[in-house]
Amino acid sequence: MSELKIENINKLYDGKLILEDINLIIKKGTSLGIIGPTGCGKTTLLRIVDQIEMPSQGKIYYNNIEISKSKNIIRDYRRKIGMVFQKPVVFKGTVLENIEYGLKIRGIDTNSTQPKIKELLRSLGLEGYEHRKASTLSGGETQRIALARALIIEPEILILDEPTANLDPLSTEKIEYMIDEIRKKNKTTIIMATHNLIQGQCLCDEIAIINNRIQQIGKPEEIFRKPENIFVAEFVGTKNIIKGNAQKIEDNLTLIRIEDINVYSTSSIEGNVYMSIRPEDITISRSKTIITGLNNLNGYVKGFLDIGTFIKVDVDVGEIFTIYLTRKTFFDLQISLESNIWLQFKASSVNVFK
Amino acid sequence: MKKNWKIISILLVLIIGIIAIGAYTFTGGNSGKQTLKIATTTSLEDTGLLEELETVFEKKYPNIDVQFIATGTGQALEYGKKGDVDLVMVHSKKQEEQFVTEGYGTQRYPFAYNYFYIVGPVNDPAKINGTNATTAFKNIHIKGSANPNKVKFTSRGDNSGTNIREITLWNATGADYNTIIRNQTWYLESGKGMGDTLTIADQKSAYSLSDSGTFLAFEGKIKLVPFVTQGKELLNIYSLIPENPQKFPKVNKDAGMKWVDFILSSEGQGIVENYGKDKYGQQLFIPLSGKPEPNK
Amino acid sequence: MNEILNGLIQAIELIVKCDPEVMSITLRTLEITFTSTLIGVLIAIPIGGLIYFKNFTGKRSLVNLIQTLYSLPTVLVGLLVFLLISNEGPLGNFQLLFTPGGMIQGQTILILPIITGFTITGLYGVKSEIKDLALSLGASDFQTIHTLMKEAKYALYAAVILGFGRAISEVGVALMIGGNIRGFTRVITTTMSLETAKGNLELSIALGIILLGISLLINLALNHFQEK
Repeated sequence: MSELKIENINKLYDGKLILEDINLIIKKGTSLGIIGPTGCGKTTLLRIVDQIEMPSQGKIYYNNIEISKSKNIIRDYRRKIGMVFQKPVVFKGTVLENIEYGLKIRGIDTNSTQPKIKELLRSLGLEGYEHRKASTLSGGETQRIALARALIIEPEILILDEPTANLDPLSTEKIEYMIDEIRKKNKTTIIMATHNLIQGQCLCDEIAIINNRIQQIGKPEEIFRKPENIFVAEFVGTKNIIKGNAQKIEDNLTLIRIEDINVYSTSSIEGNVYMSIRPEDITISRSKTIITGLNNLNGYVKGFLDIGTFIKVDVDVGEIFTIYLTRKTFFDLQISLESNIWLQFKASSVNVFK
Repeated sequence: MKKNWKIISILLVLIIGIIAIGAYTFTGGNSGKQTLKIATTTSLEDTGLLEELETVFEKKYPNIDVQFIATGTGQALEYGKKGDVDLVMVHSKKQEEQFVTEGYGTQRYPFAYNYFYIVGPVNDPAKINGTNATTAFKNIHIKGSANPNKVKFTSRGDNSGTNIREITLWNATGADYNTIIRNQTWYLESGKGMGDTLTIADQKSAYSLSDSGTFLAFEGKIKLVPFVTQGKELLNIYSLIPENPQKFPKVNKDAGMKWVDFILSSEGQGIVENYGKDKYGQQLFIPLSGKPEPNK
Repeated sequence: MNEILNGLIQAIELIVKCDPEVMSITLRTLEITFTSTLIGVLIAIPIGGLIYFKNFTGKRSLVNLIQTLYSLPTVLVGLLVFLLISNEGPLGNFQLLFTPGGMIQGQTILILPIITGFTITGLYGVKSEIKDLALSLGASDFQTIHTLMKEAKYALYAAVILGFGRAISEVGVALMIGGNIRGFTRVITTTMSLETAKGNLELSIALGIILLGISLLINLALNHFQEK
């Protein structure tokens, strides 16, 4: 099975380690999202994967062949890749000349590809743009041209570096639609950097959160549900992160002591830890009820905020927990400031990480 | 780093090679016709005599292209010493004889003569009119030293035949050229050809030594007048010297000798004798072929 | 004052009547300068491309050196080429001294730094993203250089025009290497210098007007390309 393997990549810039110990295996036809804050090394990693930049250390294998061994291998490898850069850029000349560039470089006759170019432009909403001067187009249009230019060569790997950053909604939608279409065919490997979590979640089979190093890699829902460290948790916007000390009390059960309260968890991690609980996994009642969940905490309403469909309620049980209530529940339970409240959640819903 | 310099030097050699080949191909377009390169003095070229001789000669020998490089006698002999020309036409006997003795040239063929002119501003502040050359130079030295704003002398200072003669004249006055004359405030060196030097002398109202040909060609254009124009000291003999083919195997010996024979023939000498009569209203050169060198 | 006016009137007459001497000198000048510019371009643009594209130690110093050589004195080039091609020099066998070929060689050397330097700066003027883009679309090194040169083409035109302008207006090399031989190596600048010395002002002025005209055309072309 053909795959792209990135092994022990390090990259130094002016003595600073921008990428550290990057290892990735990307199977043919899958899509990987590279997500991280600005300056985390996303762009550098993609440039190294495309071999327009060389790593300080480490190797890349494609179909078990080591790339960067010779100029010819690098060039042939690059010719299997289409890349769209974050900053839209075009060659001087017409839209058509831009799109045909990759074909001409490969010595492909461009006469036979005209219908394909036409179809590509049409599906990107740029019908009839062939003979426009590329430099006169808007940023969004230019980026769509860039995608068409990368796709016309039918790449085995498509690399996208924040393809929709700072673009108008129409262009963003067209580009996302196109990426999704390619993804559905399961033929092209897609590597896409983004800082838009939703985009990553929608378009990628797997997500790697990176900040110079890979912080966590996995299916999108895994990452959102179970961040493995505080960086990922904060980056994906996890709610109710609380510091505590965990101790195993029986098989599959740990007690986390947090100043005035105790929380039970099914995690096996011990010592100083962080715990998090998703607001939607917490249920509430006005009086103490017997429940199956082990966690049953009493507190009072410290504040609430109407955010439309839901009302966000902060409850102080010694620590502040945030929960979301529907309007109906909020009014049925006659919740107001200082209302006494019980919070209940399962031990298995508690995510624990170092 | 070392390797880079190696690459750079190889590149440089390549570049020069490419240019040389390109240039050679370009010049090769003229092949089929042989060239005769003559280094000569500006005084001969500027009068237009050479052009006239060339025209007649090239009609006679259509496959020879005569080319003149006009410079000073000193520089012309330097080109000759490198073998860059086929023949020299100059006017400085002592240097010419040395050139032949040292084996650069085969033989000296004097072919024409005239006189150097000592020229100066009309009011003649150094009072040289009617004197001889040595006295004139002595007067210029004395009056110039006394009043450097009024009496000046402009020299070519370019090691040309005229310049060499001028230095000889200064030395003959008893004042050493290098230690005395050159350091005088009234003494100016132009470092240029005869025409430029006359123009400068005219602008500065200075005296100067000029070959008669150039001066006559300039006469209407400048206000200077000739004061001393005769005498052995001002005798100006022009000679032809072909390059020595034993020393420089690549020189065009045959064409060179054809040119010498042509200039010394009665046809060539006739052109020399009559040249300038209609253009300047005056004969510029006196033919010398078959006669002993004059001594006054 | 009268002299200048008369000279000017006669000069214009020479030009209007297409005086054969003026025309032949102008044509020869253009022929020689075009050839040296052409050879200069064929050498300098690839070398400029190579220097831009390759990373090596001393690159910055080399570029600095090239830029310093923009103002290479013409008489120095004249001397250098004279020593090279004189009968006793290393290239003496080609018999190039006092030929248009020799002048072409000198002028080419004179303008190589300008064209090379402006090629390099022209290429650096192209956004670095273009290079990445070409590479990412699978271009080989050669194809990338070609693409970059296409992007920088107006800067390259300007480089060529500047080289031509320097070659046509210089007098040092033409005089020292060409020897100012009438009908063979006598070009506009050397004729002007000689004829002024001889007092033939009208011919000098006529050629001066033509040279000025050529410079004007060059500058118009340059402005045209720089505005793009």
